[in-house]
Amino acid sequence: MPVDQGLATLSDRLLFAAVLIYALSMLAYAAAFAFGRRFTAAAHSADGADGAAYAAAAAPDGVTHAAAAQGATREVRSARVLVGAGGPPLPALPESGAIPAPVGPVFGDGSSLAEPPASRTSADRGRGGAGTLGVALTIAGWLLHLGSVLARGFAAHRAPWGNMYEFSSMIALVAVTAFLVLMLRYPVRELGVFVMLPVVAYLGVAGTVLYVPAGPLVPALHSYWIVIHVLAATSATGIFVVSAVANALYLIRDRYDRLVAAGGEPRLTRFAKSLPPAQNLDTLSYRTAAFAFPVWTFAIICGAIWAESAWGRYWGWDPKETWAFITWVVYACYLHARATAGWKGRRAAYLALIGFATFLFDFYGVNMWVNGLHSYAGL
Amino acid sequence: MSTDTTPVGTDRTERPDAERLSTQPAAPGSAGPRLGAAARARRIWRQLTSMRTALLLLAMLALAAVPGSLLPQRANSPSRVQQWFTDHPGWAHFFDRLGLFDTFHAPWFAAIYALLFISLIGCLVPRLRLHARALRRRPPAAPARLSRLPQSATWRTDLPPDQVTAAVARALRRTRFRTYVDGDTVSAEKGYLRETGNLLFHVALVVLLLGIGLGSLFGYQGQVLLLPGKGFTNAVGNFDAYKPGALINAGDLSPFHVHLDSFRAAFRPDGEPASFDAHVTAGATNSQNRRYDLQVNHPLIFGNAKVYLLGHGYAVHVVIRNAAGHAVYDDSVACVPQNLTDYLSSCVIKAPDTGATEPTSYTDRATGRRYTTNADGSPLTRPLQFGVLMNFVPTAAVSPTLGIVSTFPAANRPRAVISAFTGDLKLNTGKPVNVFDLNTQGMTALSIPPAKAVVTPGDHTRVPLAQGFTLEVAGYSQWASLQVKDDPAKGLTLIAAGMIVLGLLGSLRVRRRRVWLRATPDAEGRTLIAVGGLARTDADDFAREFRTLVGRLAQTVPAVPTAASTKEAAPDAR
Repeated sequence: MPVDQGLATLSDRLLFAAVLIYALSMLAYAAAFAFGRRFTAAAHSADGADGAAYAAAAAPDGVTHAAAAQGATREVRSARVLVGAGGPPLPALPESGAIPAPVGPVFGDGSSLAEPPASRTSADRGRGGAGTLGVALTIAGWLLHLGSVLARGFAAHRAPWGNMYEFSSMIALVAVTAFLVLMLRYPVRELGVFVMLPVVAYLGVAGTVLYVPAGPLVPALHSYWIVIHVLAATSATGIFVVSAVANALYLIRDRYDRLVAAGGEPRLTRFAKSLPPAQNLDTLSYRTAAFAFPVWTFAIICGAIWAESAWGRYWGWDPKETWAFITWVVYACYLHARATAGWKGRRAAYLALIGFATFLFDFYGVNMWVNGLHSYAGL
Repeated sequence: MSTDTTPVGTDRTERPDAERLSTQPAAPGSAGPRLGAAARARRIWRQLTSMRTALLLLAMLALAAVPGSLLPQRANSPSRVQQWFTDHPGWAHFFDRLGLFDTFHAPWFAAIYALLFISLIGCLVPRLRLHARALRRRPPAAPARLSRLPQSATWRTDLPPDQVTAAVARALRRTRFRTYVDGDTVSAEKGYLRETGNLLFHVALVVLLLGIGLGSLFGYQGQVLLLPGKGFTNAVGNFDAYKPGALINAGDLSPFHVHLDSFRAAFRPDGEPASFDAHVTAGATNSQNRRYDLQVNHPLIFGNAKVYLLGHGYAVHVVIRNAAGHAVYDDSVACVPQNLTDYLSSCVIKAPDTGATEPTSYTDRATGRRYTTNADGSPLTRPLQFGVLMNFVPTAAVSPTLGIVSTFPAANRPRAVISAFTGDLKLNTGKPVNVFDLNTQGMTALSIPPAKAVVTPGDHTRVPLAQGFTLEVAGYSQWASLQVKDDPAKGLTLIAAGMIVLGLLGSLRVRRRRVWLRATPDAEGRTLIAVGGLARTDADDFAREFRTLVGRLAQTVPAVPTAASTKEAAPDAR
């Protein structure tokens, strides 16, 4: 079937528009980041339940962090009491000044079922309009981006991930999707600028250097496995992008914290202080990596099944396969290191960044510099 | 090798000095040295199975695979390895000595993964035992002060404590908590699937290695190049290249045969391939033949064996005639594509039996004398042999700098460019000779006028060679190369791969969490309920889950207003 040129052009224009909108959203996030509140240790505990939840969630050993969480929640309670005292008198406030116990269960942080602890969105409320604008622009850009990918698929009558340009677009789309989903559940909006920056750069390179016109695929790719294998591989990579961003920021923030703790005067203080607490970044990085790792494993296995039907062997140490293996091993190393005394923290974070670097090499370096069976991918 | 953030005691935690005592010399009089050796062995074993060693081995495995991807490998591209030896002989020999052209079969690579798997099994066996025990053990007893746990809640109810514990235990069991009631406390734990998944993942890795190993022992792989009109039967002797597993017999090959009727490659206008179709007639020996359209990604299946379309190229039909016009050579020859973008292909034709002779000479090594006649004075002769090097150009164009080039992979304007040699083809030296190679050393190049050296296949042009012999390129066709592969352990490997994904999902998604409840009578004659919760592993939203759970428990065991809140009429207090 011939390529639908109208749809192909539409896809290109939609991508261009999406990059523009993404860039604008990046600027909005940047503004929010620059003028938003600072995450000092005190500000962190004032995050209340949010920080507590993070700390408890990330706690490697229940006890110490449970204590930290308790500390945080205690501050929330005292803050409430202050509000009660300074504001208009609350009805039926007992003489003791204590909060009236509700009928249902009372939680350790003083909240009840009817009155949940300070919600996560309220922690973001202080961000002002710029952050919200950023989110709105991200959603708009995401819709255009999705449209571009779909139009490309319909134009070429196939799954829209058959060459490097299309992989890159998909990876960026997955990264933005992952970020949007994360924002629904966790207070990660302040990371927006750091997620959108690689996404915009990535799409910029994809749309210029890697660009190829829409077209049919070579016979080696005529298989339904391309839908499953490449979709899984690009999804895993897109999520690993978010993980790597969190990891890099974790290393910056952790370095800052350690310098401050040692009484030093670190550079880029304003920047580092605006980052979320190191613990949160570490947790975010781990969760995204732990989500992407099984997806990546699945992608490799699908690739092996496909290779078995295309080339007669499920594993042949083709350079692409070798680098997929290396990537898998390095991330496995990271997941293990994070559970090992003496390795968790910075060392594990470096391992994850090495893992991401091997990922980039697997996706791009192998196609550009190494001769192998996967070199049809349009470069 | 756990991915938990909480060492569960069964984890690969480092035990610094606890067992150091065992390395001390045994009591005098006993079998001292033997025990010492055993202790040392135990210590090495403990180090090998430690998480640090596993991490190190994993990192080494990743690092060791790198050269195998950057340098060409014999198993994948022997010709590019050969190129290395030609271009950088020094480096190539050095790399070869290190085994870097066979990285994935090198002893040091095998050593890394063998150690890794020994370390893995050494860690896995005790953990399997511990987990089996943990699955049968009841959840741990409640801590004294539930309010100090990361998650906690309290409320009061009118139900007596024993009814509370019974009802709560029922409710927890419904949400698949493992629950145990002990007096006024309820202990519950959930998420054993995490460790189960973790162990499943690691066991699956061992099974995967087993599957790969069995496959390479009992499987085989063979390649054969077929010209149209030719066929082959699946037997060891019929392959051009045959790689058997160590434990397979020639008689074990499943009997079938494949006949190539025709091959068709279609290309898009930009030169990219659009489709490859090998039209074959094939069947198992004892069954009816059927016609198939063999394509990439769609192999033929005969029992355990699969037949794949591996490659294709052009073949030329060459006829060499003597001065009388009788054909002394009439055969199709497969040409090797020099690249896959324009399919400029090189063909080698060896015609050893022409029936004619040519004069030759003989040099005595001992004396250095050169003879051109026999003892009786007759001229010294040898059989006249032709060696022809031909370039097959699918779509010919004339480039001012490069001469005749191909501009497209399909045979739109096919030409054959011929150069020919006479002399000894060296087919009788006893050494194996590559049919795709012509060693022209010691051969005489024939001078063919440039105008006659380029022919269009099939146009009946006869190119003059020597002694009245002529060469005609009577036509061209396309060959296909097939690969037969049999891996009897493929199913096992696939099952292991599925277990790996399932195990990972369990070990990375499920979290282990504990909930305790204590019901004690208070001064007002009501029952005070305290609930505490703890997520033992990297907990995603345990706080949220705990709130939901408490909400459900508060429905099972309804809350009543406490003294502090009795002033407010609580409408929903049942």
